[in-house]
Amino acid sequence: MTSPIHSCRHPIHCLVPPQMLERIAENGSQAQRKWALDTLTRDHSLRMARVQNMQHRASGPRRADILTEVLAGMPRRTIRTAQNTENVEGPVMRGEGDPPTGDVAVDEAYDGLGATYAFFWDVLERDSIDGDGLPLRGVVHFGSQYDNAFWDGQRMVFGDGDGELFLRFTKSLDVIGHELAHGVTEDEAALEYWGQSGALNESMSDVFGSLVKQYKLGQRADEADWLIGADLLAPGVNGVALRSMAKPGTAYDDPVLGRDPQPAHMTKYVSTLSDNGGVHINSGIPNKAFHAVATALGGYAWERAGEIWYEALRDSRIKPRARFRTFARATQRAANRLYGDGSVESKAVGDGWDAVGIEL
Amino acid sequence: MTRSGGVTGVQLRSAIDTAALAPADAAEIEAMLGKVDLNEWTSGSTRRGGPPDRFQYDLVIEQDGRRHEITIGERDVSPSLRSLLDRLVAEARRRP
Repeated sequence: MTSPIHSCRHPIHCLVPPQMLERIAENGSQAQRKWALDTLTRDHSLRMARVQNMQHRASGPRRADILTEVLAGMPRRTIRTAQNTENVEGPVMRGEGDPPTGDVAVDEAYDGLGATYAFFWDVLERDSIDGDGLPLRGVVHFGSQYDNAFWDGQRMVFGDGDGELFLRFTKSLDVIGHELAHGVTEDEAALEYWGQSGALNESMSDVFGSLVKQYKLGQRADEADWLIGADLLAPGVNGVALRSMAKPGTAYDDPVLGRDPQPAHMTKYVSTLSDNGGVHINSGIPNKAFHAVATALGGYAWERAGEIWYEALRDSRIKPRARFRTFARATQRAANRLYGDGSVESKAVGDGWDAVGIEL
Repeated sequence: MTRSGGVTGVQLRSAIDTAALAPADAAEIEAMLGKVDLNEWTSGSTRRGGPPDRFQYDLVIEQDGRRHEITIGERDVSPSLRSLLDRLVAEARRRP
């Protein structure tokens, strides 16, 4: 086995997931166990030191600034219940640090937002949705048998599903990541939710949603299922998920849901006025490009492919109405900047977009 | 009716022909329609882009020889239109 040390590019925010470190600490060779334990301890001490600093300095004059500074790396979650109405300001069920409630939707939202926060912090060194520690607000039990989840600009809202087509929307970690990522995209690029820019917005959410799940499970690109919402199709529905990033258009084929309409290539781009100009349909194209890049590079998808996509999203040349090609070029620039012109990463990015019919 | 969007991206479609319904059922639909101000939606109701992952409803209503086409986001649905849309969604969800 190769030592995971070699894949660790940041000395502190190491890209090996904590639960994998724990596994190595239990089962690895002597050297691997020592490394894993040291890494876990260092991470723990850093967080403890921040808390102690906070307690020490909180009595000083700049309390708010200091709080923001030292709380970096820790989520601030509040989960409310809409009590099956559409009131998003219902009772708080679980705040940061509170024990599990036994309400499965509440606890899944809490854990899922925590896992998503951890992904953005550990891997991309981003402190929450706005990069500045924005508290994470979740609302569960929204509406009656509501078959949806969404980001409303301030909070992530989850329905219970109707039980016949869809189960509760907190059941898939990648869907929770998808919603939080809408907040990140809004903050970084404000991609207009229409046509190609809207499909890019959607694809960003699928990419980061899937990466959140892969990171949590410690999966390499060739081990991941690349499915979105695999857990929330109800029994009896003929399908495996809402979308497949590896094979767009193959996630379901069911008498009620119809057939998965996603294209995997620009020649099959769907022009439509529904779904805000097909944002959940044509996202299959950039989704497939990301999958192609990540699997070509191998290893953990969040390390290189994920970093390149994230840097591209932050590129100042990505305007609200950016089209696929504009974004593709931004990923190429990011790959060149991070890994060098002519690097395997740069080539993989070019090949990935070429595979879906987008010329750089 | 077509309901599209939502995080699932699944499109649901249905149609109701009141002429083919039992009188009581048809009367119920007509009553729902009667509460909807169709003129409110006949122009300028189509907007480019919306908030992420909300539903979009595309509705065609043919009544007394007139045709109304409505595109409306989930957040803008009035309570009266809501009951009609709920009925159409229930229709679309029925397994063949």
